[in-house]
Amino acid sequence: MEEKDKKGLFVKNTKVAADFIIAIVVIAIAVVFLVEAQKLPTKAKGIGPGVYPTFISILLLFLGVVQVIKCVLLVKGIPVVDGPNVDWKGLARIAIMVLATYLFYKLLKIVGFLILAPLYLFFAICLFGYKSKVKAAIFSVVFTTAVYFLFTKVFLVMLPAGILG
Amino acid sequence: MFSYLMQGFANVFQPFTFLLACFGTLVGVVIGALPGLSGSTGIILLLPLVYRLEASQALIMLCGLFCGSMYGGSISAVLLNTPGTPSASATALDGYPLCQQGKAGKALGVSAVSSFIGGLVSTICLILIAPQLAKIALNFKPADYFALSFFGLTIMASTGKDPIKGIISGMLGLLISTIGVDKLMGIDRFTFGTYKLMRGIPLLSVLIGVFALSEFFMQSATKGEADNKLAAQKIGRVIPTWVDFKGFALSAIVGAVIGVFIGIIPGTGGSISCFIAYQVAKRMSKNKDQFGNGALEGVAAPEASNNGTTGGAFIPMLCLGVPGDVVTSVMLGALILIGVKPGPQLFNESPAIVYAIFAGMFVIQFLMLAAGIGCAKVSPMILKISRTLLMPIVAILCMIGAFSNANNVFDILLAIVFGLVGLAFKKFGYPGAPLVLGLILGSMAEENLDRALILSGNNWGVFFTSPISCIFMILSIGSLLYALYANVKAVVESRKAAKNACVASEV
Repeated sequence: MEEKDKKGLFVKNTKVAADFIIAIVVIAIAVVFLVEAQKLPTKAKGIGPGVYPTFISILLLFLGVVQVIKCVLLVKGIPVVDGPNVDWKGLARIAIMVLATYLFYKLLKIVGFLILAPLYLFFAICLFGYKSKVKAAIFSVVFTTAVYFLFTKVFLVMLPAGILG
Repeated sequence: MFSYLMQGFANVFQPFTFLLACFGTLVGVVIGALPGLSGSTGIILLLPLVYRLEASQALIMLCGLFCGSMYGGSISAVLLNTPGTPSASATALDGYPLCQQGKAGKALGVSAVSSFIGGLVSTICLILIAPQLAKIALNFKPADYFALSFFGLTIMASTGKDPIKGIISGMLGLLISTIGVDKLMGIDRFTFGTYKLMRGIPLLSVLIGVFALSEFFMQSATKGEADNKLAAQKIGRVIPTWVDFKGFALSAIVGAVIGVFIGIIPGTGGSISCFIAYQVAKRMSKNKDQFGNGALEGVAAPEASNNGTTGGAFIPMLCLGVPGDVVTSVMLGALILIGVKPGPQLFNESPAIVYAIFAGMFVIQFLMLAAGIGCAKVSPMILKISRTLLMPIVAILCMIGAFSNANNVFDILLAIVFGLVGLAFKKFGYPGAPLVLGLILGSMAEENLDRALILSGNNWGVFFTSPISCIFMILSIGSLLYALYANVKAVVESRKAAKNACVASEV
């Protein structure tokens, strides 16, 4: 049972637990949509705006329940190996990257692409483990500046200028 | 048809369009060769550029990328024993042994020629079959369209490793498609008081998140360069000899035909067809013992079949609006984003676009052959492109792509959210393609469900009275039942294996 998956982040038992948690999330989403769909008006002919999401929510609810039953049956009466081996370091790196990406979104309008993008790119390159910091910094500035002018001048996509605007 | 095709060729050979075809093919070869990036990622990265082009030019470039990535996958399969794309998985079985024997050039040459044969056969089938299927599809009624959407989604969702997870993914996509102002009565649905959600969830943000940002997040878990050890630094003779060609030509043709037919079936694709073609080629071969030890036929069959799926996958996508595989589901999204609505009407309303795609696919096969033969010598250099630089570049291009959809920063947030969804999906075995397909087909299914019920006076039996919709509904219900059966079987087998292991350990 304690068999590592390809990426080595989780063990098999943890996968059953994760499947269970995801199934509960799916059920929760289905219930929220189902309840909200009942508040929508109906039509005399054809379907109202609530019928179609109701139909899908019920199907999703059913599939979520099937997944929960499957997870329970997979572990019921079978000894579970203790100590799931989660790669916390890998997860922490993902969390940092997600947080940095979220900050990029949050600050983009305020700071502007031309300043923020090289910083983000430099941070991401360093997090990925590129050895030369100087080269990474030069590359980040040159690449993002080139991309900025390509998109604003050639493709006419007005990237946020922020404090430079 | 012939005059439209000639117009299509004239379109392709316009200097700028031809340049875009070359660019798309080359980018496809490079992206396909790099493990971790796929044709779908490539298409997503080029989307901001696609907006600025004419529809036919954009499509020809994307077709080049699609076909190029199919061949590109074989480069890392041969040189690293790591397929660049899932479709090249079977190529590694004989390609890598050939490389270890110092015949990397020969393996890459066979791969390029077979990819060309596969692509050419599939393009011919596309040109011959698609217009006929579109003519039939023109007679579809709303009930048939609803049933077709339902069928397309369930069949794609249920052909994966865990069909229930696939269907859950598809249903989530359908639910997401209902967010925003309802088209039937103009009422807000599931916006939860957020005005930013009134326009719905943009397809581009979902595509970027599920297919590209999720891969970026996933790869950020490991530091440093990938542990790639090239089995060959020098590539020998690339162009196959006439004797070699005679030896693998039949396998390539058979592989191509298998690829086309598997490509037509929604939800399948190159990753399935390559193994089937490999097995068939092995059975047909006089040198069965050589398979797995460096048989040229073992490279030719899977490569011809995965390129065979390209034209095959285009058939249901163009004629019915239902994609044949993951890359065509992303391509379908790209088509919608640039204002082209695939389906039988496309053949009547925009024949110039359709035939430009046909002609483009034809020309691209020659470009791919040239790129394959030409790039073979420099392929070890392609594989040395730094992952630590490439993935952050992908992330930056993803942000720009999401923003450029509507010059809206909120779309970047949505891309990040769907990046996390895609990451969770990848980690826990939920396929991302059905989610995207659900989002694409969702509104089409709802509109046709409404129309069908209005026309039939709210008679729900209408989906079983028309023969076309009845067949699609039966197939859809069948695939749902199969998904349930497969799940029950997996649970029973898993419990049985675990109990046996317990008994063995006690003894």
